Formats: sequence, C-alpha cells, structure tokens
Amino acid sequence: MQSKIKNFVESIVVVAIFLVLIQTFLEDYAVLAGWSWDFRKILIFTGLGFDLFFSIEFLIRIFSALMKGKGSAYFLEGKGWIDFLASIPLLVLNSGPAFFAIITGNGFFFGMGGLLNILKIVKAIRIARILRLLRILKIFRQIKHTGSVMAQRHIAKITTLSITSFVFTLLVFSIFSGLISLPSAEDKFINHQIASISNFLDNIKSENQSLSVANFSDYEADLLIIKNNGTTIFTRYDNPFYSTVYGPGDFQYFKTTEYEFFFDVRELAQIQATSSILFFLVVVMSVLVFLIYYSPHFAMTITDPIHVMKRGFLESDYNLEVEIPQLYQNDDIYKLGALYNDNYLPLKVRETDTSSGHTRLSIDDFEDLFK
Amino acid sequence: MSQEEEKAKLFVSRLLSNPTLLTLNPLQKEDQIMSFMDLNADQLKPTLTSNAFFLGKSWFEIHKLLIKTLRILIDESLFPGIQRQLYEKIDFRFISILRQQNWPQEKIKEEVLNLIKKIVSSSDGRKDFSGSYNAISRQIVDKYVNSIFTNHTYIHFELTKVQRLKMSKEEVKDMINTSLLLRPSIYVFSSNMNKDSSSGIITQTFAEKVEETLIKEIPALPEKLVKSAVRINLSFEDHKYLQATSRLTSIINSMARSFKADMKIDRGASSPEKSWFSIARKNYKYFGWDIKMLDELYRFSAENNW
Repeated sequence: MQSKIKNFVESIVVVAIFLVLIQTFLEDYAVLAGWSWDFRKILIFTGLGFDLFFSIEFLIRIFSALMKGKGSAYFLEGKGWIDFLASIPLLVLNSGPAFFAIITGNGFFFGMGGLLNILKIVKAIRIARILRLLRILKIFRQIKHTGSVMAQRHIAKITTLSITSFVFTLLVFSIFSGLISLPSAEDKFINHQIASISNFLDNIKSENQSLSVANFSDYEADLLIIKNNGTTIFTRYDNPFYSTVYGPGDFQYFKTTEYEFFFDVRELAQIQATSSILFFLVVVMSVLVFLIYYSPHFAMTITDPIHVMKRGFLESDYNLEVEIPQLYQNDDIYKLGALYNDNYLPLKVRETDTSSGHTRLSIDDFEDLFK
Repeated sequence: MSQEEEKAKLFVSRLLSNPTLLTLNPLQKEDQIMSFMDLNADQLKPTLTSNAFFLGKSWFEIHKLLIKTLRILIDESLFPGIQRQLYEKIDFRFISILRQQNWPQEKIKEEVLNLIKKIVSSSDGRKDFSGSYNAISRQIVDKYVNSIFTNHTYIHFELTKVQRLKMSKEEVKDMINTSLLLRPSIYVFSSNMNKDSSSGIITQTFAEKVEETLIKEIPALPEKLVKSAVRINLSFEDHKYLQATSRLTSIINSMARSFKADMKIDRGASSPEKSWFSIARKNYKYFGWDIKMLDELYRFSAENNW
C-alpha cells in the first residue's frame, strides 16, 4: 500500500516536471509573442505553484533522507542538489518576487523604482530563472533509457555534468557581467532614456510645455506617459489598453521633482526572452542528443558486448560471438571481445561438446512434479 | 500398463511438457531430461523412493523405469518425424545416378528406416542422430547447398570437379540429407568403435569395417553413398582425399547438433550460424574439418545473416 502511494506521488512529480518544462517555455514565448498581460499573469502564478510544489518535494525528500541518516547520500549521490537548486532559490528569487509584485500592484515596482532600477531587478530575477533548466535533469533521471545500470549511471553523469556546466556558466557570467558593468542592452536602454529626459527638461525651459511634449513623444516611440505634478500631460494609449497589455516589468519609471515618465520596455523583455528560449532549447537538445544518440551508442559499444560475454560465461549452451564493428575494433572492449571470440569460445566448445550434463530444466520449474 | 508404469509416464510427461523444451526436437528433449534426472538425482531420489511413488524400488530401478518410459514417449513423436523426413523431404532418385541403374525407392526408404530404428535403439546412436534430425527438419542443407550452387566457388568445385558428382542441386541436397541419416550407423555395428570421445573422430580401419557391413546389410545403398556417409566421421586432417560430401556433411551435422530454434540473439552478438562457423574455423584441426569449406560456409552465413 505504502509503495503504491509512493509510486503515485512519484508519477505526479514526473507529470509536474513535464508540465513545468512546458510552462517555462511558454512564459518566455508569451513575452516574445506579445501575449496579453492576463495570460502572462496566469503563467507567473502557475510558475509560483510549480516552485512551491518542487520546494515542498525537496523538503520532504531531504527530511525523509535525514530521518534515515542518509541526508548527504541523497543530496550528493542522489542528486538532491538538483532538486534543491531547481526549487527553493527559484521560489525565493524568481516566482516569489514576481508574484509579490503582482499582488501588491504596480506601486510595489514603482516604489522599488525609486530605490533600484526596475530593469536590474527584472534582470536579477531572470538570472535566477536559469536554474529552472536544471529541472530537465530531474526528468532525465526518471527515464530508464537502457536496461544496463552501468549505462544509465554513465549517461546520467555526462548529462548532469554538461547541463550543470552550461547552466552555472550562464549563471556566473550573468552575475559577473552585472558586477563588473559590462555593456548591456538594459544599460544602453536606460542611458538613452535618461539622456532623452534630460534633453526634454532642457527644452521645456525654452519652449512651451505642449510643444516640448509633442516633440518628445514623436522622437521617443517608447514613451508611454508623462505626468506633471501628478497630472497626466501625455499618454500614448488609454488606460484599458495599459491594463490589458502591460504588466510590472513591461515599463520603466523615472521621476524628477516635477515630472514622472513611463517608458515601454517590452522590446527589451523580448530580447531577454529570446535568449532564455535559446538556452532552454540548447539544454533540451543536449539532453535529447544524450538520450537518443549517445545512450544507444554507449549501450551498443560498451554494455552489449559485455552482456554477450557475460551470457557466454554463465550459460553452457550460449556460444554467440561478440560482433566486432570494424570502426571500433581497436576499442579495449572489442579487443577483449576478440579474445573472447578467438580464445575462450573455441575452448568452451571443445569442452562442452564432450561433456554432457547441462540442461535448461530446473527443479524449480516443476511446482507440481510430485503431485 | 502397471500402476508403476503409469506413475512413471505421468512424471515424464510433466517433464516433457515444460515450455523450455518446446522448440527442441524429440531427441534433444530426451537428452535434456536425462541430464535433468542425473543432475537432480539427490533431490528426486527421496521423493520418488517414498511410499507415494515407487515404494520398495531402489533408485537404480526407478531411474531405469523412467528412462525406459522416456524413450517410449520420445519414440512416439520421433518415428513419425523420421518417416516424414524420409518419405516427404528426401527424394532417393539420386541413388539411381550413383548406381547407374534404377532401384525401387520404396524399398530403399524401408531399408533406411529400419537402419535408423537400429541406430536410435542405442544410447550413443540416439544422441548422435539429433544433429541429423535437426539438419533435415530445419532444412539447413537446402540453404547452404543453394548458396554453394549460386556462388560456384571452392565447395562447388570440390563436389562437381573433384568428387565428380553429375547431379543437380536438388539431388546433391538429397545425397547429403541421406548421408546425414546414415552417418550414425557406426553405432549399429560396434559398441567398441575406436572413436575419439572428445572430437567424435573414428579410425579408417573402423570406418572400412562399418562400410563393409552396411553394404552387406543394405544392398540397395550404393558404395559411394555408404562411403560418403560413414567417412563423415573421419578427420580431414588425416585423410586429405575425403569426399567433398563427407566433409560438407560432417560440418553441417555438427552445426545442426547445436542448433536452437528459440535462441535469443542479443544485440551486439553475431548470428548463431555465423558464430558457429567462426568458432569452427578456430577448431577445424581438432574436429577434423576442411578449413576452406568452413571459410566459405562462414561467408554464406555472414552474407545472409543466418
């Protein structure tokens, strides 16, 4: 009964991993395709739901392992570190803040905007999102792609190493590029907007306000709203349009003593989403290549010859040779296979040809033999 | 049938109905069950000698009764199989070519059948006949002779130019199949045959004695055929002028003996016949086979993935 419940829960986890991969892709695709804010909001909520689910899953697993005194075994050998990195940090750094921003309304972001640059916050959140790619390793772990335990371990090892290296390289590079102020699209965007605002404020001293606003809005296509002492003096669209299309992170906010400015930054988000989709596809493709190409190659060139030789050693009437592909004939395993074919099998055939006394029948096969 | 015989029949029938024996020929099944009884004697003995089974009988007597019952049951399926092979799969018209005169086929078939009955009445003959039975029932000769006659290389040259067989492909198949049936006749004419117990090779003197007796016993069989059949048991290493049909039949018989219809070919393993020929090429001296024939047969099995 307990194992049935465990299997059921494990099945739910597998389904959840598949779904979260779709959700991860859709979250970026929605930005790229310009889907409505309502739909993107649902995706953020589901993202939070998945992060919560995987955080709980990790906590249950680590707690259960600790109770059995196998905490480090689960975290290290059992790849619990993947469960950890793909759950709690995402909840704390990615979906949690995004959800908080939505439920507290735009004011949260505007408030933050006064202290920090919104684009920097969005970027930090996006960096944390890279960890989501590790979830692909979770699903890989669930797939029994070959019958050999050795093959499964080796493929899992190489896949984990390559994907983790890729994800951590991206993560570390993203963090360091921010710390050492490498040129970025965000900085270029902000600097351009600050320069435009500065230019507008200079012009307004010499021109009348209407003309300055008209020139500024013509010149700056990303400008959405200008407020003067709390009163809207320019808006590109009406309010229902803003509430349908724009969400927190889709606009950049600047404030001076008299004026407030709102700029459209969806194009920037689309550039970031393109990178995210590219990273996602690289990881998915890598896993698929390991699974579809490398795993059978490993089985064919390592475990299959071993299996054939093992059967030959164990079974008296199994005398099939190891098939040695010309391309790999210099591999150690095939050199061993050649020795098996050339030395062991001929001797075995001579021996078994003369000695009887081997049978495929076993006394255990006959439950009713004496009834 | 006595109560003990009925119990023995029931016991042996249960063994025979085991699914692992399903694809084996009757003689292979018999061999498997005999080995099973020998290997598991310690476990079988206490139960079979108890009140519920064969009370008052020694294990030796019980074993003897079980083997006798096993043979009866095996013969029930073996003889119809042999008759089918003789009457449906082999055409004895090739004998007329060898003798240069017509002989009634029915008479030949009857005499060969009687000889086979004598062969399978001995334990060694039964064991040895398994290869012949397999080779004919699985039509192993047919596919290799077809390849030989398509390729026209070494074996074809040996059959048609060296042995000078003026026969069609089908007649060569019939001659080889008949040689296969007659091959274990060495067990009929002597229990002390100077046979190498490991390689199965006999001496020329013994072979000549068997040939002499066989020709006397079955005058319908031409000398060439008798020699072809009996000399299968000679080593090509020692007798370089051995007939091509003997050399070829010897190889096919040995391969058919290890043939298993239900063998699962694992990924990464060579096919069963290719494996067999490859190993045989390394053991050719030991078993007295013609290496050039083995090379050619190996090539056929590899090309056709047999």
